Amino acid sequence: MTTLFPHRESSAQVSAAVIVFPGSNGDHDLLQALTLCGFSARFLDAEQEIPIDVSLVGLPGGFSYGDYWRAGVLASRSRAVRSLAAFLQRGGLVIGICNGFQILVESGHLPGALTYNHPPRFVHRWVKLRVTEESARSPWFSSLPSGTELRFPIAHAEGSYRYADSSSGIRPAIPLLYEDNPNGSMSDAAAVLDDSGRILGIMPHPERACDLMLGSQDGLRLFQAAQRYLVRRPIQ
Amino acid sequence: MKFELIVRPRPGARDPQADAVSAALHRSEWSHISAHSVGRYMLLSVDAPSEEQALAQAHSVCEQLLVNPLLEQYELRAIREPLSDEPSDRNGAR
Repeated sequence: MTTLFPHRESSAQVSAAVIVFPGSNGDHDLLQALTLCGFSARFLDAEQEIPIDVSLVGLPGGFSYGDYWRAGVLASRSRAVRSLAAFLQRGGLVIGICNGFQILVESGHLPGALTYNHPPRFVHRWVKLRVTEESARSPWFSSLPSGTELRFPIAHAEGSYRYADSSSGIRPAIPLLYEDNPNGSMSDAAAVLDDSGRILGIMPHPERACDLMLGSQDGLRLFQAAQRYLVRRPIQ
Repeated sequence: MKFELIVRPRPGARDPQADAVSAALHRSEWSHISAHSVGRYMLLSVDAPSEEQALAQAHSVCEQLLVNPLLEQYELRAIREPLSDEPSDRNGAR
């Protein structure tokens, strides 16, 4: 019988927390992917602070707080998200997927904004992505050389990434590009990094690309890279 | 002190909601009507010692949380008369 997750890693356990907001729906997928890659992963209620033993925080996809007022804005003021600053000072890694990406932008941890797709429609399909040179300094991409192609699914209506045009040429660090832009994102951006490279916001779903039976295993490469980084560099 | 907050897309920003509503209208018997801009509305209540301070606090929450300056612009309108929860026909409201 074929198992869904045959490649569970056995190296040292690093703690991860998946924040669960009212309206999250990708939380179980993300927990499963992290567990598969060797993390000791657990759920964290949005109104709890990030525990001291946690090394990686995941913000899952979904419709936090019903996407009321503006997608991600209400979740950005939750206790868990407000405790991200102290967590990041300890050296941890953060990934926000889809709605989680929106929350990281709304909380100011990542630059820019996410808005309605252009053309305006919900998109859900598999997409091809290409890793850029801007991924080089990020722990999330340590096993993914520039030019690597990945295949992840997308499912969103408000995934068009916008940032302020600047005459200085400064723009956000974009580690992943859509091969065929599905939502009108500026510069074909499918993901964004903060200045440290430790915070990754990504609109496609790597956690749903962790088994060949489901269409792709490429998502494992991000989570495995994060796990290896945190084993080498435990947080304070 | 109460304020009406009206949020609209910034001039020049894409407005896919207006585009979609206009397209639907144009397919119907209201083909002569277009949605020029689609935004959001909120009625805010601010506890503050003065109207001036209430307005400053209302602007503060707009700029720091309720409005995304990259994509949106906003307008605050002070409401000085008692509000009724009941719909009225004032100003054409129904």
